[in-house]
Amino acid sequence: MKKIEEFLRSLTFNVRRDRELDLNRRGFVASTLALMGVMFLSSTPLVVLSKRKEATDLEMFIANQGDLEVGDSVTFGYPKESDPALLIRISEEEYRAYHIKCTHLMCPVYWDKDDGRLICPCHHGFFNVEDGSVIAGPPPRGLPSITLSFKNNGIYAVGVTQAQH
Amino acid sequence: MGKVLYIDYERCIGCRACIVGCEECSGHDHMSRMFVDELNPGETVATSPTPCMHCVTPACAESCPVQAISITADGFVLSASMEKCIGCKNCTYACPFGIPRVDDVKKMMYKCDMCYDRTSKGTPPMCASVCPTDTIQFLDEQELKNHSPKEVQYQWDFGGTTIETKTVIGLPDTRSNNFGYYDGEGVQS
Repeated sequence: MKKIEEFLRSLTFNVRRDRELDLNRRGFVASTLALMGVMFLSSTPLVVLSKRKEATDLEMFIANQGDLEVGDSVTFGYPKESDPALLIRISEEEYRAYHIKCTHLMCPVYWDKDDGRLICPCHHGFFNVEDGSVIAGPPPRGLPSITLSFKNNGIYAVGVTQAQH
Repeated sequence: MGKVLYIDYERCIGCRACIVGCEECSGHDHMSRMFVDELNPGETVATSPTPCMHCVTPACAESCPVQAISITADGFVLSASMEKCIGCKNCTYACPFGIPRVDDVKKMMYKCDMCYDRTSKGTPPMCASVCPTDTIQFLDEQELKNHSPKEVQYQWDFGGTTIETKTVIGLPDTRSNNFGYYDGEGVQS
């Protein structure tokens, strides 16, 4: 206990005259570098976590192929009910599906049929409907797109692809 | 182990030579860091010189917000560094012995630094040099703390906090009365 107290004293109080320079200049540089190193190392688990792909092999029925007119959209939740997403039919053959939480501040994005763009009304963010990329506004990256598959005249959501800036 | 101050209150005659000596010491800028306290004015003429006690863990240095008070390698607590001191008086409030003084005009604290220019070369500090009755002496620390002929005290209890000091105080010898003045057999108290 006494040793711990002495150690804490030596850390806290820079009053030893013979160690003055150590703690003032070199000590400051060394502790700054050490702190940078510690912060760098402590962030690596987070980097690894963020790079790891979320394995969702969940297949979910959204709608039948004939349900939507060209230019129409329908909302659904994928992979969970609390993850709002939008299925858009952009031509006779082509469908697109995106998560609609805006990447800026998570406002819901809506599909503007006349404009042909996905629009976030909160801060005027615009997304390309072709690939979910940002056209204009404050969002830092595109919308996560949902991979679709077509079976037996039905449209199924099979996976989520995070936008790579 | 170097030498430390030894103070025997029983020998003090209150001449205040230590104060004058302290003022004359080079680097002290004619400001005395020595106290001579009258213990019980009116009742007795007893006085006690009080320099810095040079604590092992000095509260003044640890309370200093700018760490102006430094401790030398041999454990003496120096006066505040002129460049660093801001005159905040934290040390005065923190010191359990009430030693540090503050010059309000210069905004600077000053306290006994053991005449470090002298004592680091082995010369006794000014107060010990000028004391006519050997109340203040500059003696070997180990010898004094372990083999003193008189009872000494260098650990102090302040409400549970034990403070060890380098300055050693000689306690009045009330058992054998071999030191200092004492009342004779026939004195009615």
